Amino acid sequence: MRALRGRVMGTELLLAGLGPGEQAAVLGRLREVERVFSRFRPGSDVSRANASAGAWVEVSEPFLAVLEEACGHYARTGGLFCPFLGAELARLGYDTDFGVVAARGPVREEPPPPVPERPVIEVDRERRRVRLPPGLAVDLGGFVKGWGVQRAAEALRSDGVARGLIDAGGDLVAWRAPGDPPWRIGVEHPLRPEPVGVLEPAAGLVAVATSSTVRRSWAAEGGGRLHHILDPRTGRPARSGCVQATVVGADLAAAEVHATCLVILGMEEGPAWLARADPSAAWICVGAEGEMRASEGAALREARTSKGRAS
Amino acid sequence: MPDRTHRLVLPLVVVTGVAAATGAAYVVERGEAPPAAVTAGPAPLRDGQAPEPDRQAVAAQGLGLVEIEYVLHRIPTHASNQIAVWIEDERGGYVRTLFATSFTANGGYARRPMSLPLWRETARWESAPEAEVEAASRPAQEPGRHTLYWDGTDRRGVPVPPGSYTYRVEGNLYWENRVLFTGTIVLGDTPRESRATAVHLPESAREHGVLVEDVTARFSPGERLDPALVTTFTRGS
Repeated sequence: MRALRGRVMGTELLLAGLGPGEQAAVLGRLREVERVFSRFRPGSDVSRANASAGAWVEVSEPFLAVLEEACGHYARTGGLFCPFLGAELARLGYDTDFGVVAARGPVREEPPPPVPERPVIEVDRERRRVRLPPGLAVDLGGFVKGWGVQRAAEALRSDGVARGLIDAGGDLVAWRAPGDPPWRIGVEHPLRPEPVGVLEPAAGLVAVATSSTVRRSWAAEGGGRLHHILDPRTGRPARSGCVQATVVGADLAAAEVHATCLVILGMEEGPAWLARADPSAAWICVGAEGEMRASEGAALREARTSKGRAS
Repeated sequence: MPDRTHRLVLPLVVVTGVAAATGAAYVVERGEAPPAAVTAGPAPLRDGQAPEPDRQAVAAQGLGLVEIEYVLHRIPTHASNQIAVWIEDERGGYVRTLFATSFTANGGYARRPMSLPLWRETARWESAPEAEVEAASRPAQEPGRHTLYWDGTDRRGVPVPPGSYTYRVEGNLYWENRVLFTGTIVLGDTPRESRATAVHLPESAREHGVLVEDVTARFSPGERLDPALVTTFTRGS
């Protein structure tokens, strides 16, 4: 079967091991996710909720479901994963498609505004509406991409599709039966041409998410670079010394959350925190000097070639 | 060390009502035709033509794998950011296209005749078979380092003989202003590496920014384009 490449949710999409009808189903789901959750489409639920902060806004069922799930992670991580940093990202210049942001000139990093005391986000399930406090904006970016990919994969599996891979910009879900050849997933090194290594997940479903301060970064005035992984404790781009974190688990949305938390917490504190938050998750962290740490469960293998391609 | 606590004021999320059922929120039209599949594997032979038996044997053995790497930037202007990467033989004969930005590859040249003219002329792209167009055209890539693979076969999937081959990367910087990278790589029994050199067309085109740089090629004899090697890469998004 031919792999399919395309673009959705501002990122490259790769579908492998799937037939044309299955590919179409995945594309349909992900494009619907983009329509509802894009921060850059004026008519999306996210844009409407953010633009009407202070007022009730009617939203869709998926928006409520994802917001609720994100809030669960938000509470579980003590706020380290925060889906309410949309205004901070826009203040740092990430207010449109990343290709445009990267091509702009350097951005001045203004100090973040003070957080209002105990902001209240109201969710009314009965009438399917939300109300955000002024100054707060929802950004479900990588989280909702992971959520959408996970749901698409689970739908195919429940339809009896025994093998497949859905890769949205390097965050992916892959599954296979025990007798199938394994998927081989390279882990890029953010600072070097050669990959960190190759993952060869066991049979069943696996989710792999990577957060990086290097790929979606842009120039700051006065030198240095800004990036999109914000530390909610400072309101600024995370500067923990961890420049890339990969998490391997069973759910892509959770893996996205955990990878973000590792980048925020750093090379030492991050893995210790993840061992408490999700002992079953495997992880790989790369530091600012290119150094690498990995959990035993990651079982990284050496890459035979520098890069590969889809079947 | 930044103050890690002064902003950590958790918003209060107040939820009222009963959770709605989820999971059936999307309507998917399964009958929808999928977009073009774009693996760069061998294109089907035309007109029932089959490789000669001895060439099939060469295909089974394979000369090796050529990796072409480049760094791509994005130019924030109209009529830019189109690129094509292709292979020619020693005499300048067209071998195959490895990548072409989908706008131009799928007929955008009718609206913008200045898009990738050298590649289109060399490949006679206007009359290329549909399978070749599908295999080579890709969506615009994100900025960053990219790798393309050539498995040593021509546009029909027939293995090429050992020898020197030219790889080219053509890119539109702004309307007709282009950059063209050219390098050579020898396919044989020995590992090889090379770096391409750039010319701007016209010379003043360099004023329009950097679209592509650091174009290199590496040949690994005997290496197979084996999809089991690595399927994809996780990399941060």
